[in-house]
Amino acid sequence: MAVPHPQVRPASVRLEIEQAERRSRRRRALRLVLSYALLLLACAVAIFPFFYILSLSFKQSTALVTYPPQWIPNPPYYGNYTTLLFEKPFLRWGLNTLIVAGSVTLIKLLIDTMAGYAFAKLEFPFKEQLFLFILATMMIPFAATLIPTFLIVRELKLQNSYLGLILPALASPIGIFMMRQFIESLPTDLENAARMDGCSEFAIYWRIILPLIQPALVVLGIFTFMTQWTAFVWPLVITNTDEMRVLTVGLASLKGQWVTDWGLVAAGSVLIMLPITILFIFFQRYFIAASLAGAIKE
Amino acid sequence: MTQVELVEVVKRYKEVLAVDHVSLTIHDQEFLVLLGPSGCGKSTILRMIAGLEPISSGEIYIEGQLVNYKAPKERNVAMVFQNYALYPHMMVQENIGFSLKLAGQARASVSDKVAEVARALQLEALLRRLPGQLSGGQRQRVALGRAIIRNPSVFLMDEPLSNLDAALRVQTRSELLKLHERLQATVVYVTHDQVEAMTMGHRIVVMNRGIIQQVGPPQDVYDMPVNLFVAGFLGSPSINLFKGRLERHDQGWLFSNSWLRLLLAEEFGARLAALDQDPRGEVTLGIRPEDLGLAASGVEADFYGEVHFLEPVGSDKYVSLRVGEEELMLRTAPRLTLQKGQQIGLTLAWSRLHLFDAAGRNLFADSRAAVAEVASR
Repeated sequence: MAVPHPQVRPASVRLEIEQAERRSRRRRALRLVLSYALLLLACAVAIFPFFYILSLSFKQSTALVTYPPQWIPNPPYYGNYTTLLFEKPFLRWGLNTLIVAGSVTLIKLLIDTMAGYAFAKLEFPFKEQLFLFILATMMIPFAATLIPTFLIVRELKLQNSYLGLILPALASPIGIFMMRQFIESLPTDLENAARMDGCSEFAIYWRIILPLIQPALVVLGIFTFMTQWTAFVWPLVITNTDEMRVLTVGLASLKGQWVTDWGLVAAGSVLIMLPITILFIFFQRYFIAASLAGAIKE
Repeated sequence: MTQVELVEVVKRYKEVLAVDHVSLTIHDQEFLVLLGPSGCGKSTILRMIAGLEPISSGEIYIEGQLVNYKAPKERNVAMVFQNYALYPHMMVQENIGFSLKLAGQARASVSDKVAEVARALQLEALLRRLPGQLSGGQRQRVALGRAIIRNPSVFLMDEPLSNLDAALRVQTRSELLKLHERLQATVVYVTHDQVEAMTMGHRIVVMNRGIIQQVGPPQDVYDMPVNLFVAGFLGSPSINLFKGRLERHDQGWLFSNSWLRLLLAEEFGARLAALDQDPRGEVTLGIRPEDLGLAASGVEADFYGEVHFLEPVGSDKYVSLRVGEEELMLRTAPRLTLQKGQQIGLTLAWSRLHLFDAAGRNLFADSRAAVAEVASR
């Protein structure tokens, strides 16, 4: 069907079209402004606690109670940070946390992907039952296993040791479940092709499966690292010397029974948050990739 | 020379018998097509030859060696998968050279061979691309390259053309045939597409429900299907089948049912008389659409039908006719003018009619020959 050229349309029609266009443009602009306002508000609510802690960390404890509060300390006070880094064993705690969180993350990635591959792609007796059993353990609350785990670890004489901090953290099924779901979505013919090409079962896992689930690996890795980085109860229970403390427990120990230097605690909090935040910013594209995986056809 | 041999091979999935005592011999340099509807067991057979699927019982030999217990990589076979199964994280050259790299060949020799294969398949410009950046046809060629580079004794192809669009499929079909000629390879090719089977196979194996129905050169199978299933599966539009009774009538033979009384021609009677078994009783008459003709003026029609609808397809015209309660397809010249509702007289190509007994066996098929073909391992 022939569409009349705009020029040939009568002036009244042209005017009407123009008006409609203007109206729709105005509506769109209004909607944009409104949504930005709403998002900005949400951002402010989310960011405020962080900003508050950051602000605290640059204040002397005497300045904490001034009214009205000084949001941006001027001049900033760096004493909290120097005390933390040079007078307290903060760096040692950081190293401990890094060792524990790093080892748990690496070992868990290895175990979870291997188990996930087995549950997703291999055939063995009682596979379904075993998987259900593993899933069922997810329903047992941490508090219920805390004391039995403590007794076991104590019997093994692993208190105040890295192993005591690392081993119990490895036994968590959520990663296995996640990896199984992810690996299951890979086409089986891919493994078959690799099998025909001469791959062993381990080579299929190592050379084909692992590279293909990279986004999931990053997500699981960050989740695990973050959980370990901020873990509190178990490290508190299993360590009682200053050298073996992790950051969270160390931070808590800064609180005195009668007096607490909140500026110092705030500075500690900032330092704890920093690496995790950087990690997240660095890997966030993988997070988006993983949450979108499967949403669109390749 | 025998390249692949299956002896009484069975595949059972719990209660389901996917492959039922299949015996089959595949000759050296043969292009053998396994044809059947989905779920008939053809892909399972392919995967059992590849070693990707353990067999429940029976034996498989490749180049005379029993391979039942050999891993896929030890069987010297290569497979092209329906969805190509290219490694998405590897470039084309890595995909093609992966098997050689795994086998521990030197990097220089691998890249030489990759280049050679790429040249043969016109993939040179794409070597550094990822599979995700390729079109369907290009991916298909990479999958072929991955198989070719290993120089296997048998190529296994699992519906390799089914993901391509129609035009590309026809083109790739002829390219595959040329490739087969050049490589002088043995190919086992699985498809549900009868056109692919007819055009590509030296021999085709028609399967249904895990059982081999018929083995033979495509035209032979088309011309002399051993049973109703094969007759119905091959041919498009499919064969017209009429149930009825066959009786002696005066000097000749009479085929009749509630809506048709057909006095069979003398020529056909002679074919019946030559049979070992008495053909009288419940039978099914099979007439291919091209074996029906319009009666020329002055020629007596064998029977009459009414034009129901017309399907011009360009090169032919399919005419759906109503005869009594049944519908029947006729293939005619494309520019023939026919009116809906028109009564037309029809003649039969008597020498090419099929007659199936109550059990669905073709009475004219030399059953002994078909059986011999199946059993000759």
